[in-house]
Amino acid sequence: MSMSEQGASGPGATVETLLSVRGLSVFFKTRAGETQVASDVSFDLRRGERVGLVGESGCGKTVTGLSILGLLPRGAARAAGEVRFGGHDLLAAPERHLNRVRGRAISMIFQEPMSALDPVFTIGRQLSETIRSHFDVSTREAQERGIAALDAVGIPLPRQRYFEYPHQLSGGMRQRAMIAIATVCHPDVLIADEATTALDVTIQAQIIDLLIRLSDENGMAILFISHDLGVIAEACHRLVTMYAGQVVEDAPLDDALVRPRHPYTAGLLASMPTRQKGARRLTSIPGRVPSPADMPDGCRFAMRCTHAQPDCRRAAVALVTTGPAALARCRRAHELTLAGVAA
Amino acid sequence: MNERVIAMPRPPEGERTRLASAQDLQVHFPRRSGPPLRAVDGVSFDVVAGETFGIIGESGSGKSTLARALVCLQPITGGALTLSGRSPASLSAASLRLLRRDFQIIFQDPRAALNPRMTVRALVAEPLEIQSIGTRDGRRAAVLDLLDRVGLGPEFADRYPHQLSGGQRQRVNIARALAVRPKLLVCDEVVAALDVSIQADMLNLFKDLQDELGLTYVFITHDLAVVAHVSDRIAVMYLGVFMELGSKAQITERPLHPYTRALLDAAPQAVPSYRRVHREPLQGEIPSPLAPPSGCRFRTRCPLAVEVCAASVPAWREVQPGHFVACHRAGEAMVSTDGTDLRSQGVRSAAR
Amino acid sequence: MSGNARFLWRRLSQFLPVILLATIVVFGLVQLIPGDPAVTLAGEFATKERIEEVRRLYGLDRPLMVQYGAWLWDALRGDLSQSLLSSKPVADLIIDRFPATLIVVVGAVLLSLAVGIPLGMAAATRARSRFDAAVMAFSSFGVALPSFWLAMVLVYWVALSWQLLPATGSVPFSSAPGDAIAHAILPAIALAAAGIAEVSRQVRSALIEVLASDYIRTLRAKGLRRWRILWQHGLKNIGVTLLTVVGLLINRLLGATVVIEAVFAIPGIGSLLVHAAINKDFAVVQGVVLVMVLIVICLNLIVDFLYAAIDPRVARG
Repeated sequence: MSMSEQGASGPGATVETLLSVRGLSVFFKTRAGETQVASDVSFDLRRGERVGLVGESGCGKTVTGLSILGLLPRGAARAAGEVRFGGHDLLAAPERHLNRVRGRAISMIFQEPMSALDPVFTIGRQLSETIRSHFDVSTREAQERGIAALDAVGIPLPRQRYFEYPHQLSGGMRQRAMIAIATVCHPDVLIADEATTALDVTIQAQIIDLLIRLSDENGMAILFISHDLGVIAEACHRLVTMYAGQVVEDAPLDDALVRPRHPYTAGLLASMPTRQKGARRLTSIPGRVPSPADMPDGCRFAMRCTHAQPDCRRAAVALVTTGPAALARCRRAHELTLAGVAA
Repeated sequence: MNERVIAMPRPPEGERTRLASAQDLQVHFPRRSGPPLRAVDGVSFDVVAGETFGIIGESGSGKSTLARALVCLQPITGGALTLSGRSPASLSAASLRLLRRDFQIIFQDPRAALNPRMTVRALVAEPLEIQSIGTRDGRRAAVLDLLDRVGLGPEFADRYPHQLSGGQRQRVNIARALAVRPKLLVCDEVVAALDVSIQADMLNLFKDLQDELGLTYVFITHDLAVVAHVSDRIAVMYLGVFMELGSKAQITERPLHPYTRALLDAAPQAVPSYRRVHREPLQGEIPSPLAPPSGCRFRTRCPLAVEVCAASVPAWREVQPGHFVACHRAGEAMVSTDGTDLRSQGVRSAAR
Repeated sequence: MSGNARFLWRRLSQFLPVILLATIVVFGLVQLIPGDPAVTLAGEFATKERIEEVRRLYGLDRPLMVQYGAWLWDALRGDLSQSLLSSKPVADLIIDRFPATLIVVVGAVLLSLAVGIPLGMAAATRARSRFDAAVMAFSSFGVALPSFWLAMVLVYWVALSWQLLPATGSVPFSSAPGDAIAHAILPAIALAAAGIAEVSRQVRSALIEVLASDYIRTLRAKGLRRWRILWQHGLKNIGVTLLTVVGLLINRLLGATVVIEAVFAIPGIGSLLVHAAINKDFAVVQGVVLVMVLIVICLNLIVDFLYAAIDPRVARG
């Protein structure tokens, strides 16, 4: 219904860290060798926290989400680094362990609910098989839990919908069913990869509210992966901005939006058309994202950055602390005053 | 059923040229069994030379069918369409082809519209050749000029579509549409698939082209922020009909229709003070266009719906000069049936 | 559910015209065979008058339409007329011969599926590996391999040299099931080689596509075991492809059995057809071809019905 009072700031620093991504790098195998699509990605997710991972296509946000659950295309991709969860490193864990985590402790939902659901199995079957692969319960018990899950995500007539096929549901209902499947085992973490992108705006608002409610009620942490800063702003406590495979900014949501510390975050905000901005020209980011095969040595954003200095291009830039629990990968983070949105 | 009063939205500023005009325009698709699919079911509006006319709607609203009808890609089944003062239905094939030059359309998926085996040069030259405009040499120069206009250097002329990014492909599409010097360009979800910084570039490009070439746009999108950014006037479409039409300020700051307000409320906002935090999102989903609700088509999701909304189709009436709405409870409808003051929402969106 | 019913009704209503068309084609084709049935009937040394008499006797002088009508009417009542050579009813001949063919064809289909599906699945999950390349090479080879050649090789080695299985002939299933199966094994293998190749090929390409789809990723994200993803979701999703393949396979095997029955000296309907054709026994040719065509049409109808059962979206389309 509405964001809880913790809304603006998120869980305090004392809340336990659930998931910790440390130095994650992802490589894709190509004919010409390996290309790196994510470099040294690190961030934490605390219990009940909603973190937004924003960036444009090809920035590495989706592969980051997939690597957490070991879902990168087998054989074609490789992940290095660490994903700490429940005392284990998921990147090093055997498939058996991953299968106990997937869908039970960490779940994932995707952009297209139509293609993400198996078209030839009923919604109920897809729910009950999830339950039965994690809990030793009877078919009957699994069915009751499945119907309860459909009810919990606001699907009307859950007992009837349970026996229907994905194509019999509308787009919004399909995404709700997808969320029901992902949350039926009450996971600690939900990874939502562009989960509202394909939906109409009124349905998108419903789904965002549903995810916020589920997160608040069950203390479920959510990693919101989206290209849409608006969606993340509505839902999250914390914003992690990715550019060209790197995390370039990691800060509490409103700090990042109102006073961004990385020129790329500021650039994204300036590019967004809003009805408040009126018909003024939008400030776009000049140039293009460098290709993974041709990454510059220095700051990867320098060639598009209006604040870049010669030094920026010389050596790789590390993340610097810009405030309490705030990091930015910019040599000038402390001296620049960048425009964000109005407070 | 069709006793609705047709009030014609007038062009905003007196005697400017009406480039396109729709009166009770309908596009119905017959079906093997059952009643026809009424994709566009009686919309009336004028598009005035030099303006950007925005149409916003969710999937199933019929906005894309309307877009195709406006450029004669989709025959209309009822009402009247007037383009440059003439009715396409009454024209000979030759005159229709000439007329259609002036009314071009660009679609969402730039890849689908481009033949992968043709170079950018050939793609942009194609419409000129089809319409046999200019000499061979004249066309060569025109292609480079067009590419320059859409921000692509001459080095792009010999590339193939797969060598271009999404934004560049969309620019090629725009160059193709501009090749025949149209008066009106219908843009159907042209920035939907693009990253936000590329989208900003494209929106700026549309603005520049309008300033340079005096183009008129019909900008069709599901994205409220985009439509509000580019449009002079905005029509809000739902299940084949217009719910509200007015100037950008009227629609985004003083919306009268509950659906318009719901759209404004639902649009995600980055600005902290505008967020939906305490707003109740619209319930339910858009009903099937095959069986639209009786009376007002929005009533099944409308927080303000009362009996009359199911009984009769609300008239399309002009509430203020240039501001049209089809709602039984428009204007008075600032307070919900349960007594909650909904006014705050409108005011919130209007603030600043 | 009404969508399903409508789909089935539509298919059924197309069924009768197709059957009618098939009878016309079968009847017409037999007319095109060179040779005169009256000559065959009258015997090799008959006089011209005798031939004309026979022609009148059997109604062969009537207009074709009338002949067709009479033939169809008889066929509808189960009377496929009599063999011109042995004077036995054609229907009885077919019923006598059919079980021997059936056991070989069914065996070949089962063998094709039992070997082809796991092979295709294994290749798909290791796409572009060496194993995959080997399966595909075998498959190309299997498709191209003439079944009669394989049949002769099998007879020579397995039956004659190693004496593992009987070389020729057939035993009725009802009298000695074990023996009947033993006799059917070699012909079934000879027929199945192409079937295995085809099934594994189609399963592989369909499954590669399925495995790359979003819902397989969802299933992995839910923590489902690999074998469940493969054998439950994978198999059901390629079900439509598989059905099509099986349908085509049976059609093809029914044709190929003509040659195989000759090699193994099996008294099935294939050898019946060959024998009849050589001896210009038009009534038998007509009857056997009609039955085979009807079997194929019915099979396709069953496949269509099963489509709707496997894929809930088919009925809507």
